[in-house]
Amino acid sequence: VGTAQMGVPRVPRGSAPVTSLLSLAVTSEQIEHLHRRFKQLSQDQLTIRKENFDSIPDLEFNPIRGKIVHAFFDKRNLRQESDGLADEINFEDFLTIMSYFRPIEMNMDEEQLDRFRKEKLKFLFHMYDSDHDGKITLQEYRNVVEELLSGNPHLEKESARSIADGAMMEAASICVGQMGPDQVYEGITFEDFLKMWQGIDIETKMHVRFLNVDTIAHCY
Amino acid sequence: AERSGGSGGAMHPPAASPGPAAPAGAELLRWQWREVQAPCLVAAWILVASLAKIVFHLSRKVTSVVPESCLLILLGLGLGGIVLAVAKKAEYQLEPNMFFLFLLPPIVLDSGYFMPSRLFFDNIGAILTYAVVGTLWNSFATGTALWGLHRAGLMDPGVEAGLMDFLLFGSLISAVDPVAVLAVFEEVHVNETLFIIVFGESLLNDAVTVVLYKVFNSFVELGPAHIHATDYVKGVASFFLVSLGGTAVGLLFAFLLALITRFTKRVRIIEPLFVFLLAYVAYLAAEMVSLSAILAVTFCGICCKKYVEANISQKSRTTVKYTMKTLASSSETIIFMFLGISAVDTSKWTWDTALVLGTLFFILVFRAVGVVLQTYVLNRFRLIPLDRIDQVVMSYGGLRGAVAFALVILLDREKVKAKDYFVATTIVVVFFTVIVQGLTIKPLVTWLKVKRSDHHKPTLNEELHEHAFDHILAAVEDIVGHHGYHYWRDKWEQFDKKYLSQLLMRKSAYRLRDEIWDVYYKLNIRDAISFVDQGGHVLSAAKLALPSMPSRTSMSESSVTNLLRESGSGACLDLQVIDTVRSRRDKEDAAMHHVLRGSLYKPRRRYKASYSRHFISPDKQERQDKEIFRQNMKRRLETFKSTKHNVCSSKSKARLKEKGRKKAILLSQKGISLTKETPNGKTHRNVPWQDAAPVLVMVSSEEEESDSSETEKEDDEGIVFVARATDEVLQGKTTPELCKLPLTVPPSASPGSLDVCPSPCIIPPSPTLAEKELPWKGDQADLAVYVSSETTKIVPVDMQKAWNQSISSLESIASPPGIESGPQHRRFACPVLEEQPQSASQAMPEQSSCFQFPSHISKSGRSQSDSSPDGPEQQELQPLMATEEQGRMPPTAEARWLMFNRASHL
Repeated sequence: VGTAQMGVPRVPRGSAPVTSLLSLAVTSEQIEHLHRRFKQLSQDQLTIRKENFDSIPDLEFNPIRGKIVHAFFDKRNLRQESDGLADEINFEDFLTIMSYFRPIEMNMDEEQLDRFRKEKLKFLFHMYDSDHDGKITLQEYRNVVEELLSGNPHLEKESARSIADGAMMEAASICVGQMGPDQVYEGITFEDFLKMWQGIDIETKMHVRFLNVDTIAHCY
Repeated sequence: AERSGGSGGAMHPPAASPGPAAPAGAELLRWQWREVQAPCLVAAWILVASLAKIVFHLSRKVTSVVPESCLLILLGLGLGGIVLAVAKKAEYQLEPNMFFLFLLPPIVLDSGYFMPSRLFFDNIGAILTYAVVGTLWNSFATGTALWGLHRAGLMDPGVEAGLMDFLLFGSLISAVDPVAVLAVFEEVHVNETLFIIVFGESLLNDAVTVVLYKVFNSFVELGPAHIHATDYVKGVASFFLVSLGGTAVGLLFAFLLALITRFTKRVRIIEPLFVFLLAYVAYLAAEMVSLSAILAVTFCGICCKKYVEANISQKSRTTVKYTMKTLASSSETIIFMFLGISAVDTSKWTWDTALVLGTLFFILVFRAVGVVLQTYVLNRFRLIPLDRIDQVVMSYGGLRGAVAFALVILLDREKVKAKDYFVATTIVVVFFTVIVQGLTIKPLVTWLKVKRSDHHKPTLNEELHEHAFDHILAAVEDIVGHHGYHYWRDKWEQFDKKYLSQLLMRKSAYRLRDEIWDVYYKLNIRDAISFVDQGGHVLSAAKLALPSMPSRTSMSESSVTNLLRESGSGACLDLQVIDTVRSRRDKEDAAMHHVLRGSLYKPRRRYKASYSRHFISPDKQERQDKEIFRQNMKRRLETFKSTKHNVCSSKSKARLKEKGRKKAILLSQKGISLTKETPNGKTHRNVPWQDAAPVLVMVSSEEEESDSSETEKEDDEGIVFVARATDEVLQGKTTPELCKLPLTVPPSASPGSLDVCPSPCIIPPSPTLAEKELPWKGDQADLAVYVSSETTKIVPVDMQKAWNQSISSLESIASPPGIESGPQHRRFACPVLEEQPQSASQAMPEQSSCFQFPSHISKSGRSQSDSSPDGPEQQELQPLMATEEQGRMPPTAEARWLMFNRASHL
């Protein structure tokens, strides 16, 4: 699964229409818009650093803000061979991240859809798997849930824990079924993750409209 | 009686008073049919319809092929025929007033209230397009085409109608009907998106229909010569007024409703009433100022639900749900049946083949064309495009129903000359769409392989991921600087959280309001219920000695924490492990909780046999079930953990050895003297304990009583998983209780002598490490205070005396307070605990960490303060001493427990 996206030609910098980014038909207009936004965020630098994201006021209230920003710098998401965190990303990388949020297209066949789905899930999985070991351990899951719930100051940390524990147990029962007495469920692997998502329409969920329509409603 | 207008136009009971019509002396019985006629007929019709439903569902084969609405219409036709044959004239028919005032509101409220709001607003763009543009297109196209047909001379010359008449007819015949759509689509199970689009359209097109109908009606009345350009402008303006006004009315009442339910804490029993009443008033208010009443109720339902559900109690929620469903379902039944009955009345309609066939053809074709065109445009904007199959279903699913029929009946024959023709056509169209299309849509959906809705159970993971998605998408839109749908939804949610929810939700509800948490809670309850359903309620003493419990020997070797750490960080779900090596005493304390909780049921006993119109008290069976349920959950969790997560696997061998012995101990009930060896090598004295068990039972029952009296106050508590309160209190209470009741057998004294009965709880202990660590420890000090201050009030004098004696004797015995004396005494008080649930000391905190409901904790914390004014009542109700304090203990204990837990996390 993971190697499927390797070797994809890089997006050429600039505003030329891109056709090769995972067969994503992004119009030049969209790229221009994204490029403008990129320059705005980076303050006319060639790369964006983490601090640049602090300047977005709307992001401030997002409970999982840290995780999302982190995902932008995660080398796994950037389709680089290496692992770990990038210090800064250029526009190319920015586009790569954005391409995870493409909507499906009418003319996609089954195989494309499947790959598409897996990529989106991979993005989510990487966000959860913060120590890059290919497993979402209980502790990692707890952190995510805690962050998700951090918007509600009245919920105790403890409830976040028990929710994460419950979710983990559920995941274990979905993925492994009946376990032997000596078995230990160490964490959710990506295969398990896929299993958990079976039958759920991710296609309808992880989309942002601006990548679909030629007209971009709001530019600044 | 008000609904009487309903079941038939023919029966308007003259309000004949049972006045003295010159009776010949005193009457023994009197025939009073006239007085009860109207309601009686209503009841009879509803009964017939409901019985018919039963009959339909006797055969699965029939109902799986034929939709219920079809069957009901056919039944109505049959009944109408019978009535016609008997009475020689058509007696009953669907009265428009009755339909709009009584039959329609429940259905619309039901669909609005239970509308999946997220899905609805996600697709609001498409829904609005189809509802507004689609309906406009349909009515104008159909009207004009029919007019063209008429001009071409294809229709009977008896049809006297101009363009306006046909447009009027087009407006009423083109609206997709919510009742019919719901009735058919509920049985088809297409995917959610498709369903919500068709159904949402049918609800929201009401505004368009109402406006068009009214505008054309007034145009017809004015006559074509008198229509000015301003009238057209007015027509357009009235569309916005009617739709937006209706929505505004709905929102206003939703707000009021949510606000009112915020203050119904003390009148729980009438909570459901408010929901129905305010929604109905919203409908009437909108109807009164001729706004769109359907829109008003729909939006009232959609918007109030979140807040109302959070405010009202669990029972009220269930009541609302079932009452709403019952009302809607019976309304629907009556509507379809009366549609059938009304059709029999031949005096009202005149047939014209060209008009009927033309209308059928046009509505089908124009709907299909409209859907295709609109979808083409919409797909350019939609994230998930609607494919061709969806479009076919949408076109074919445009069912017409009772709304069209009621509207056509409302026409004025003087003004609309062709009314009879229109009535006939409407009836045919309604019957055709409901019966023919309703019958064929299911095979069609199967044949086209339309994506069905998958009925997978909601999972916690899914909910979590979905929330993560929402945040990610909002964040991406923020980063890109695109103010799209997610951006605005995120903004709305923030606004809702900051202001609306605070204003409209009860404080208690608001604090714990969280969707993820709700799902977690619901799933747990569901799991638990299914577990109990599977026969988990058979609880025997043998089961107490589950192999999952870690045995004592292994425990003494290493601390719990170490064990858990060894078992692998990834799998260890028990992080709330106490990070100190425990003293023996602590273990025993915990063990005691466990025995008390694990082995005792609440006995059936006299309890508050009160009748109240205003409060529903939980019956005994329910409380007992709750208790069983708790225990089962606990047990199940232990098994689960041990098997799945391997927490205790290292101990399993030792456990097995112990198992048999434990059972023996547990099962032994009377007259057994036990000599046991503790791991420390201490030997115990023989302990006769025949009477201890009954005493313990009593104690526990009192515990339960106070506990449940508390839960009773906080009605919506639902099911509580961990009865920690009970345990903690038990822990603190048991020994004094044992002392009070002269049944305990202290080891060194003859039964009944209170003087020597040791009660470590009353010893004011110096704060020890263990006390800080173990929450129930702290209660001891509190207890002493409680006892001294409160007992004097309630307890009979002789008991007081004995009590005081015991206290003073204790003080003399154990005046140097120390930890050492504690365990000694405790051991005497309840010898059972010595060996038995060694595991308990560990299992208990662990598993509470996994499966507890902190909501309960804070709730009961609240409920304590809430219930404090009720204190005196409680005293009266529970004449036994100390129960009152017990009632108040749990919150304290829990609060401590909570603090303690938090500390341990740090």
